Amino acid sequence: MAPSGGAIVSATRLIHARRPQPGATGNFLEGLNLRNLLLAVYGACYSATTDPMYGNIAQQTVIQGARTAVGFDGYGPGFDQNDPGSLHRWWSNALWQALAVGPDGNGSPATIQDALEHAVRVVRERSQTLLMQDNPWWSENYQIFGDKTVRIVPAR
Amino acid sequence: MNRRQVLTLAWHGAIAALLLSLAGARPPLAAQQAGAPQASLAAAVSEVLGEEFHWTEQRPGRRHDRAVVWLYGEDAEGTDVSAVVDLQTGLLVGFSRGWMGGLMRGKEPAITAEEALKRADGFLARVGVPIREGGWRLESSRFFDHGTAGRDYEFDWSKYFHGILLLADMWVRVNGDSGLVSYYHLWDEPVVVPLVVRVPATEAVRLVVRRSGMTAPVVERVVLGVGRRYVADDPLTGRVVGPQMLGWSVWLRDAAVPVPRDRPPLGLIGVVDARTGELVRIRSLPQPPSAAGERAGSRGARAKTAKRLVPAKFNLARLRNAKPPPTVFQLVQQRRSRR
Repeated sequence: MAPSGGAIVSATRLIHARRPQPGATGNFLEGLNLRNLLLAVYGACYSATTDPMYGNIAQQTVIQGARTAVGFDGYGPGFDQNDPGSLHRWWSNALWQALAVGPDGNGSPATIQDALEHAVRVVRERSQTLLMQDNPWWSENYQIFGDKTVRIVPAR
Repeated sequence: MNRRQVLTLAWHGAIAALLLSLAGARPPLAAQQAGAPQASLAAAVSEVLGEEFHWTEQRPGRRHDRAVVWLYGEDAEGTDVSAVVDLQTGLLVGFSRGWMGGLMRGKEPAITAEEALKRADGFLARVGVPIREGGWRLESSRFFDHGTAGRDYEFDWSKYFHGILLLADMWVRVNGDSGLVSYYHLWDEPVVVPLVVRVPATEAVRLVVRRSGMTAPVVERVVLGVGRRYVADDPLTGRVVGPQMLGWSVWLRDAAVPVPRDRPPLGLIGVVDARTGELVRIRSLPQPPSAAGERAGSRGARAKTAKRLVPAKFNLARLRNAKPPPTVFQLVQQRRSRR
C-alpha cells in the first residue's frame, strides 16, 4: 500500500480505490459490483487511509457493495515479514480462526470486530511471551467499514 | 473519599464476592456442554458489570492454563457482548462490547482521556481485580480510532517485580463516545522460573550486537523479563508452548542505515537467556513499537504514549532471594480464604 493510501498493488497491476477525475484511465474499484462480497480483509498498511485523490481502498470496497471491509489506517500486518513464526502470520491465523470457529476454538464463530480484537490479543501475548518486545501496535490500527457485526460462518 | 464513594466501593466488593462465591460453590463449569447460560453465573456477571445483559449462550474454553467459561449475549441496546470468567476464582478475565453508534458520532470523542481512565479504574474495581497489589503498573494510555467500529481510549497495565517484566498484561478500552468499557483483558501467569541472572546486560548486548551484522549499532532498549522458551505453538490459541525463562531483550537500530522519510527506522531485537547466555532469538523489526502508538496518539491527541519497557536498575543479589508476587488469581483466592 502507498503510505498515503488509496491504492493496492496486485501481482500484475496497481489498483486505485476511485478515479481522481472522470475519465481517468487505470484500474479502479470504483465501478465494480461487489454486492456478493460478504467480507474483505486488506491485511496491509494504509489500506484504510484516505488519499485525497484516489480515496480509501477499504471504504470503497463497501461503497461498491461489499457488506464489510477491513483495512489499516497506518501500519498493518506486513506479509513481507512472512516467516512462519512472525506475528503477522499469527495475526492472520488468529483472525480467521476466530471467524471460523471462534476465539480459542470454542465453536462460537466471532463477529469481525471480535475476531480483530482476538487477533490483537494473540499477537500481543505472543510478543510478550517470546520476550520479543516489538509490541504489535499495528494490529490495533484496524478500521471496519460497513457491518462490523458480520460473521462468515455459517456460510450462505 | 466521601461516604457515597465508600458505600459504592463496598457495594462493588460485595458484588464481586457474590460472583466469587457462585463460582466456588458449583461443580466445574468446564465439564458442562456449551448451551444456554447458567442462570446464576449470567446474573452474577451482569451484577459485576453493573448492567442488564441478555446472555444467550455459554461455552467452555481455556485461557492459557486456566479453564474459563465464555458468555455471549447482548446489552440493553442490542449490541453484541461477550464475557470470559475464570472458573477457579470466578474472576472476570475478558469482556467485549461492540459499538453501534459509529455512523452518528461527533467530530470529537465525548469523553477525555482522564475521564476514560477513571471509568477504566472503576470497571476494574467492580470486577474485583486487585490492581494495587502484585506490581501492576499503568504502562501506556493510547487512543485508537477504528472508524465505524468506534474510537477507544486504551489503558494498558504491565506487571513488574524488581524491574523484571512478568508474564502478565491487562488492558481496558473505553469507548470515546459512549464512555462504556468496550474491551477488557486480563492475563497473569505465576513465575515458576528461578530469577537468577548469571549473564549481565552488557554481555547480552554484546552477543546481540555481534550477531546483528550492523555497522553502527545503537542500543535502544534493554529489558529483563520472564518469557517462554519456544518449543512449539498451540495452533488453536496461538500460544507459545515451552518452559519459562528469564531473558534479556535487546533492541538495536543501525545508525549507519538512513531512516526512510515516511517510515520509522528499522531495527532488530535479540533475546538472550539470562542464566545461560544463549542467544535464543533474533529478529528484524518491521517497526518500533512507538511508531503506531505515536500515530494513534496524534489522531486523538488526548492520550500520551508512555515509553514501554523502561530500563530498570537491578539489584541482582536481592533478586536471588526474593519471592515473586502472587498472581491476581492467587490474590483473589487468598482473599476468599480469609473471609
